Amino acid sequence: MTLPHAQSGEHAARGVSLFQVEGVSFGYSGSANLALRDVSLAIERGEYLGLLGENGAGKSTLLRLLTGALTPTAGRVLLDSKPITAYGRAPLARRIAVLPQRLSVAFDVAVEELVLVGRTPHGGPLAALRGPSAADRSAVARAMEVTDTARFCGRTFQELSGGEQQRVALALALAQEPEILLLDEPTSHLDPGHALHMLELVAQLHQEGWTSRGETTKNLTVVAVFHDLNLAALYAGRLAVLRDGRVLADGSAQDVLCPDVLQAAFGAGLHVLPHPTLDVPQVLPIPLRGFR
Amino acid sequence: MLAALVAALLAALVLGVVFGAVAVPPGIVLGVVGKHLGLPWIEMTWTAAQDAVVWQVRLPRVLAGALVGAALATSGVLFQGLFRNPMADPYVLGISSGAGFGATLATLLSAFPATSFTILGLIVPPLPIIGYALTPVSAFLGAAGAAVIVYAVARRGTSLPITDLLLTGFAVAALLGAGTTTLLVLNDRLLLRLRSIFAWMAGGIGVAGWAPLAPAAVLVGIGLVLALLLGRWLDAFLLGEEGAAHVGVPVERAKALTVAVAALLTAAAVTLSGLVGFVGLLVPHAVRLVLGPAHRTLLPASALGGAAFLVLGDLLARTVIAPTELPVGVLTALVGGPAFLVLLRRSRRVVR
Repeated sequence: MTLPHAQSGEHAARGVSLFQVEGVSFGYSGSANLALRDVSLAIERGEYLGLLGENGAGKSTLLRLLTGALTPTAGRVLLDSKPITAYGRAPLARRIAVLPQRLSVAFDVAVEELVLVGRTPHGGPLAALRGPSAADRSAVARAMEVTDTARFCGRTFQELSGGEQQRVALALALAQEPEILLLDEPTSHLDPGHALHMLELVAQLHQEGWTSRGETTKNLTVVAVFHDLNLAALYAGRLAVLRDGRVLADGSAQDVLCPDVLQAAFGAGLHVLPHPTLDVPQVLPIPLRGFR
Repeated sequence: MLAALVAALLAALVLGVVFGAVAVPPGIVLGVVGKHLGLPWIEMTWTAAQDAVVWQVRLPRVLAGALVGAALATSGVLFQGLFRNPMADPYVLGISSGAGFGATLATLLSAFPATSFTILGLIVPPLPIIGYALTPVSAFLGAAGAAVIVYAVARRGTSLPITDLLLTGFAVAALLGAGTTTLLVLNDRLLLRLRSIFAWMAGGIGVAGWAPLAPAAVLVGIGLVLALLLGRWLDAFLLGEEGAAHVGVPVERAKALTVAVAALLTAAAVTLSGLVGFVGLLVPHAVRLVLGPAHRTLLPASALGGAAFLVLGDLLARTVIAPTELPVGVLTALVGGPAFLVLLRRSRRVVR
């Protein structure tokens, strides 16, 4: 499955992109430096965008601007042509789900209760009194089936391994029935096997969509911060590399993962070679002081 | 499970009225209550003294205990949900001390004679009616103020380290407790009533008669309903503030409302009973062990359990060294203090 790679913001036609990031700068309070500087970027419906860059390059900040958690210092972030900060939290949460690096949960909560928390944006204020609705139950069941977490029912979240916990976190995100999934280094705490399974699952949801309540099929738009360049090249159809709060390169893995860009982005020598069986570039580190 | 707790509460209420300095048989207790509620077929088979003991003395006191227990346990659930920590309790966090300070200040102001007086050059007109409503309002403001101070000081970025929370709560409680003592010592009028004020500060339910019950019952009722309405947001706070925002919770509004409702409940409890500690810690913890942390069950179960717990606690406090009465707060501290230490010890293993 390939999608046309979007151009960066200034070339995209106004009003048609799902997300439009327009000249956005952002500085955290108490910090003299801007975390993002005049970033423009359009994200199309159904796209899988990977964000790359060294620590502090601004990729997580960009992701948090897309969630509406942060308000730009300058410029604006539009979702369907409307500033994201103009949406209420609940309407946003019905469209956008966020998978954090690691979900930290207070109290020993049963897995199915935790997934039910994903239903918070659905149902009005009185939902707290009447308990979960039939729609809530079925969305939770479907989310747990898709993520293969139904077998953890009755166990507490804290009992599970890191990989299992991350799948439960994904089930919680899916219970929101989102059309957009934002992932912040979702596999950085996982061993290679679990990381691969996690990203396979996300890729499957992105490509095939998923049905909830048997009526709607949603092709998920995915924006993911990656710290593993090779996994990013394997799963994201489009990669954007950030450096010092600016977009350094934006395009397919073939366009972006080249030695010059990598040297500029990470300040280290990285060797690029084709994947032995697939048509994507992969990256190998080059030791600075020579081999062993 | 909720039905069992309702039954336990009713049983506790009956026991609380039956036992005391003189035991009144349960049949007579139910008869007195039925008669006063206007049931026509009940025949009066008891003495006027028994009637007075049941209806004028014990029933108001027992119901006050139930209100205080329900309010404190619910307030504990709210603070624990907000701070994501099982050790948060209105007493430990200094919120009760805030309410106590507010209530004392109000008592002091309303203790002035009904003539105008001046504060800081401003002439304050006589306020008999405002003086009456002043106590709960002032207790609420004290509780909310203490909660805001504790939250603001203990917070580091997006996290609330438990050590900071407990230390801040300790300092706020000490400060406001000292403030309360100062107010009492400086004012002759209050000093005359020092014995009853001491009993109140130590957490004694000094309620006699029905007059103080109605306003407290209304406040507690409102607080319980609002708490239930906040339940889903509190569930989302299991994920932390940022996680809660991701599932659609307007975080700042949710926090402000939670603090306001918890402060309201604490204030209502403190005006009835003074500083009763650890109920908000013990009861939700026990309920959570059995029913899990989902607030749609945790909140009503804790309210019922807290009510039953404090009614039985007050019964024990009244009878264990009769005729002398122990303030029930002493009893809850005797049970709750060690439980708190166990929780603290265990939290060091869990919290990174």
